[in-house]
Amino acid sequence: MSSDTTVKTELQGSLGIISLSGDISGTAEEVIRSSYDYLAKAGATKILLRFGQGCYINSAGIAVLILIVSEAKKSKQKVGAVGLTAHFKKIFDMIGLTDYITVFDSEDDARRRL
Amino acid sequence: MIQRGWTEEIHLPKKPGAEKEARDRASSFATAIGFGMERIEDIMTAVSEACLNAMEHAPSQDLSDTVLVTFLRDEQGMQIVVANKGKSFLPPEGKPDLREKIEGRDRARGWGLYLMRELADEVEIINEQGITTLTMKFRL
Repeated sequence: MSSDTTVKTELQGSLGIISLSGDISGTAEEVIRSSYDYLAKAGATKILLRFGQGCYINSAGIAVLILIVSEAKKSKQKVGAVGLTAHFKKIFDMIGLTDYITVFDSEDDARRRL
Repeated sequence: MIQRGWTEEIHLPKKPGAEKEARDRASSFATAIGFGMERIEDIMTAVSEACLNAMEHAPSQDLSDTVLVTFLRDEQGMQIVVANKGKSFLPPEGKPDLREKIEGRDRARGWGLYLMRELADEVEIINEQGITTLTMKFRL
């Protein structure tokens, strides 16, 4: 895991929250997947990706998120994201990830609508 | 304000995270030229992807082997040239199929070149005499 990447995992009822900060790259794959696996086994039916301020996501990091979305889809879990900058919302949209991840403007909104 | 013809160069080691220096330098260079914030973020992502491609697909055991990143102020804006020894892996042209990747029929990676082509105004890749050179142009 890159020394710049921090991943925190929380389960709140059926909502699993993966908080990410720093550079999200391929080196963070193991820890992000572990976080997701924990939440999936704990019964989360909704996964919220919470991006911290200053988060940077490269294409290898996007591939990790695609793997998470792939697993979530098989498990029929909804996936949302909050905290994305306008730039990364644009990148997610460009790639088509917004067809699979609902991007929310606030965490309150995410909790209400996910 | 950076004048036309001004260039800056950095040498990056081929190790994870090294592309951050290129991103930071691209940001400073583009700011000095007068690009707006949204375009600067495009440039930062594009150069990061170009460096990642050079590092990951043309790795080297030679510790002195680096990725050369050149920033150039030109008539229309700026160019970034990323050069490295070896032939970088370049996926087919066009947009990767996300659905194929989500459904497990294709590997999840392979977005770098697509992002570069979407974010830069022009991208040119040359493989010649064992050196790969990727040039991206960004117009003001």
